[in-house]
Amino acid sequence: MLRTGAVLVAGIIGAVVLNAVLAEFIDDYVVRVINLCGVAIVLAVSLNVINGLCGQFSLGHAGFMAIGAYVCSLFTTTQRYYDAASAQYVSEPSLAARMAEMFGADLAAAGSEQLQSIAAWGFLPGLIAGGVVSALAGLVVGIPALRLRGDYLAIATLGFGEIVRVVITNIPQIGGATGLPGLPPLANTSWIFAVCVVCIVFSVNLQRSTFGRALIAIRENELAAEIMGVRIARMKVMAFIYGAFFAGVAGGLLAHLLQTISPATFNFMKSIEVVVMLVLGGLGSLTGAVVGAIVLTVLPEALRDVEREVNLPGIRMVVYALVLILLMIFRPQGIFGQRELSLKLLRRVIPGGRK
Amino acid sequence: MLLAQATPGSFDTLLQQLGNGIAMGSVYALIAVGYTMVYGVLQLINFAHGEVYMLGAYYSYWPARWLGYVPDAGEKPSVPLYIVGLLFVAAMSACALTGMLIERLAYRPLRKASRLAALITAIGVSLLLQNLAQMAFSADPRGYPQLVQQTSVQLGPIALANTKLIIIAVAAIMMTGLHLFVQHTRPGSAMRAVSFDMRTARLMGVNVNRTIAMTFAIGSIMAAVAGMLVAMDQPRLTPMMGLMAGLKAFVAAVLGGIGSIPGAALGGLLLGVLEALVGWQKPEYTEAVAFAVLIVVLLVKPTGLLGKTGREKV
Amino acid sequence: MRKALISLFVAAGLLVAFTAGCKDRGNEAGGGTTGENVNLGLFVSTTGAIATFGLDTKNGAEIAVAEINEAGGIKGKKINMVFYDTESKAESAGNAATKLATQDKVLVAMGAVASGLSLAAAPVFQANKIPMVSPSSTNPTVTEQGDYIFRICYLDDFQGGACAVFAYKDLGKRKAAILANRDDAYSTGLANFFKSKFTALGGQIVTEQTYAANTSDFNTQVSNIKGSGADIIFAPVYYTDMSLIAKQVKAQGINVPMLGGDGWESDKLVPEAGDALEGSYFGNHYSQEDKAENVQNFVKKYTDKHGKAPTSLAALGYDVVYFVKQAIEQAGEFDRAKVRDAMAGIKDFKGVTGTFSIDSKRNARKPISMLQIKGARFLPVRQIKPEEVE
Repeated sequence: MLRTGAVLVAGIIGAVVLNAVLAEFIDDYVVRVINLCGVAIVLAVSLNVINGLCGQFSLGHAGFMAIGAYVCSLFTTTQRYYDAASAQYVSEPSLAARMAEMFGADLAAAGSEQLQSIAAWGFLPGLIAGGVVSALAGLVVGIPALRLRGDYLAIATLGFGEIVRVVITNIPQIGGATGLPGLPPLANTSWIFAVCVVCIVFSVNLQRSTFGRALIAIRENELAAEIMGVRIARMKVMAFIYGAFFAGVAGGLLAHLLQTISPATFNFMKSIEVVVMLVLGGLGSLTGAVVGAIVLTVLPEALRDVEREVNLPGIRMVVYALVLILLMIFRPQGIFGQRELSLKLLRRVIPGGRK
Repeated sequence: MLLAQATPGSFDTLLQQLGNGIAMGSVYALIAVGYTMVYGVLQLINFAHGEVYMLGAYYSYWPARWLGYVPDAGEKPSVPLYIVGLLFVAAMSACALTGMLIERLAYRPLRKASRLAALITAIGVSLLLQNLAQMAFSADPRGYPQLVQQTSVQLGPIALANTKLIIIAVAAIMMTGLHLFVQHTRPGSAMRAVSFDMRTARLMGVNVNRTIAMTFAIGSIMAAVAGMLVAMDQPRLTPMMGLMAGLKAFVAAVLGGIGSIPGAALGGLLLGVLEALVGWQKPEYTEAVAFAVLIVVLLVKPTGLLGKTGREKV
Repeated sequence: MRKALISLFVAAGLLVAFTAGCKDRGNEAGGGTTGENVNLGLFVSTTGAIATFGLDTKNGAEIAVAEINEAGGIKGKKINMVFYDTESKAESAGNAATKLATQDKVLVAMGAVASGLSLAAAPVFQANKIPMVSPSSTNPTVTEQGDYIFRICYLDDFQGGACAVFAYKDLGKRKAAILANRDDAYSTGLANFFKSKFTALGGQIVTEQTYAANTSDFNTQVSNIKGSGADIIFAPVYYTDMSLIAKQVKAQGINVPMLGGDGWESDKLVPEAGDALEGSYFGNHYSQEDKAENVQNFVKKYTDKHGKAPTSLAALGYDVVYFVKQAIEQAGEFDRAKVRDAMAGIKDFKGVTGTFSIDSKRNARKPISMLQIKGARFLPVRQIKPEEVE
């Protein structure tokens, strides 16, 4: 317990230091890609709990992200939309601003800097609220998921993600198809990697807890697990709630990194991207999820210049798909399988290393 | 609730929507057959099936273009009937080949692997075909040769394009033919045997590999026909056209009961009509309804309307 | 716990490996030119759901760049156009923008097509104080993101309003049906602004129908329109959908004119729609019938190179490069702040898509030409000026 706390604190301090270092020495583009890696890590690690540990194949992560992103933006951003009936733009102050007003702040007199800091104060509650609402959605998805397995579950969760997207598109108050522009740039490296650390530490602890072992038991043999006294229904739903919570938080982070969100950002290709990260690293391996997330975020960016050199627009996605197919045929367990990357493994792999 | 909002003339609109729904549903049914047959023998959601449908349309477009029926500018000439027939044969055989190739290269090596690995491969094949098509054919939408002069046919209060009637008729004939083939011929029994129990079928002397290849070929032929019929009715080809059509056809297959050919037909028609009815009242939720139906069916009757109850293997 | 730490270290290691050799800061003020070249960025989607519009824009821009470089470049420097694909995804647009801003250090950036992607790129360029000009993002919020963000197309509110004025006053229509692509900000934007203007004028919207992206069977929506008794159908969609819609409208026996925006412009529209659009109207930046020399020159060059006539997106892609050229020349030097100021002051820019000035909100202010489809030709009916709609 104490150790976990120490690691968490160290990790969060590390994230803040990393932010300062990156901002000072590294160019913005690279920082941005690093930040996207961080978001991808949270996504992949959280999906790993559902898909990897518990073996419940979900293709609905984009739906959870969307919920988290939109809820979080309600806290930080003034919602401004065009109301066709009255032919006017309507502005709804952010929840952070409303809270500040309740505590007696005078928004009309506040300067833009003050407004920005109010928005910044809304970020943490926004992330948490996004995660919580998304976790509730996880509960809603998790319960029916009890009756489904395998590819039926996959397709049902895909359907869930699409339904979320269609519903958001049809709500003009949150921007409809246009989405929400002008989100404040709050998700910097500190925030993203602090969340990353929290997510990874929790997930490691989870893997080793009774809960984690129960999930693995369900994955390996549901019937046997049930006989051994694992409460399957409860465990599965918990896995969904856990995964959905962090997916929602990651959605909030992504929204404030991109500074604009629209339903199109959260289509089912997004879910598939996260699944591919997991599969590449090795379904069930936490380190695998981390590596998969980094590789698949950095690779497309690194290929930008290559694509320009060979002048074959679109070749990136073709390579991506081919790699996926070949990986499944020749190494279906992914890079790490269900193993974790550890010093022991490195020692074994590197020739001349200490036995 | 629906009828309470009825206004004069809206009964005609309802009938019209039923007509639209049946036409849409016929297409879903033709594509759904491919999903249902493959799932029947391999327990695999062949995600790439929607792309085979897309390729079916393109496979008939290129020879037609080469023969000069799709000029770059100006009026399109009408296509003589024997050429239309040849185009159908060309698209059907090319799609059958594509289907068998996908099975041989991507799915056969995975037959003993986990079903998830197979599912992810299927997603990969779908992405690959989509993006290859985008590179090869360009993302620009393409027109389609005028195989049939489109006219409006009035059936009482329902006005449907003649191409829609062709879709409904061809789909009905193809589905009946396929049903008879599966139920009453030797290769058809082989397919049913493999779908029932692959190992026993092999022991009984059925060539499992060939039967599976044939399943893919037949499914792809149906998709090719669907692709061409839709292109005749809605002459716009894009590399992305298979995505939504494929997903919805899959929903139709699940709705009807996966593994059952009459089920695919029923599921397709029901989904088409349901979408039209939702579209009549709330067009903005048509897509959401398709998926909501899927989830409800999976929860309430996972075997679908006409599917057989599966056995739990322990 | 050790494993968690190790995975973090591995993550950090991989990131460092990626960052190696990337660190190159400084000379931000002097960015924009390298040797004999002036670096301009272009970011549009050439893959993904909206690839076809990005490709048109890129084709148009490339013709302009080739022309300018042939004629000696801008103030003696050749244009080096750095292009990145935005994959029809907001993340990718933001990444491409950041790369253009901080690694390629472009003087001016041009893009994106879709408003959603421009909104992801705009904060990046604003933060780096690099002028960004969108050729075709019509959503009003785009240029509200900062004083370095410009556009050379109409806004949705003007175009939607102009169509409403045209339908109500010129065509005398009172009952309009709307058919829009709900997944597309351009389409829903025009639909909304048409709706408010048309009802403000005294007309009635009898039905509002929407469809999802990639739909090709519109019969459900068309049947609803048929039952609504509309005397005009406003369909603010792209030509790729419009030819199909027109055929299906006709097949259900509806005989009212249809009306649309600049998304209709394409030489494929009429061949694909057959006679289903005969007599219908749409608003556009320019008419290919325009005898002006620059229009004819562009149309010819484009047709020769790509085997098809340019769409309005291609024309806007062509114009955006010349627009940037004029701004740099007026600024007198390769300095971003000065180029921005020059851009904000551009008056009567003569482009292929019409003559326009930049207003105080950094939007192009230009008239819209209402065209009627007659045979395979688009005949000008009349021009609507921004004052008429406001």
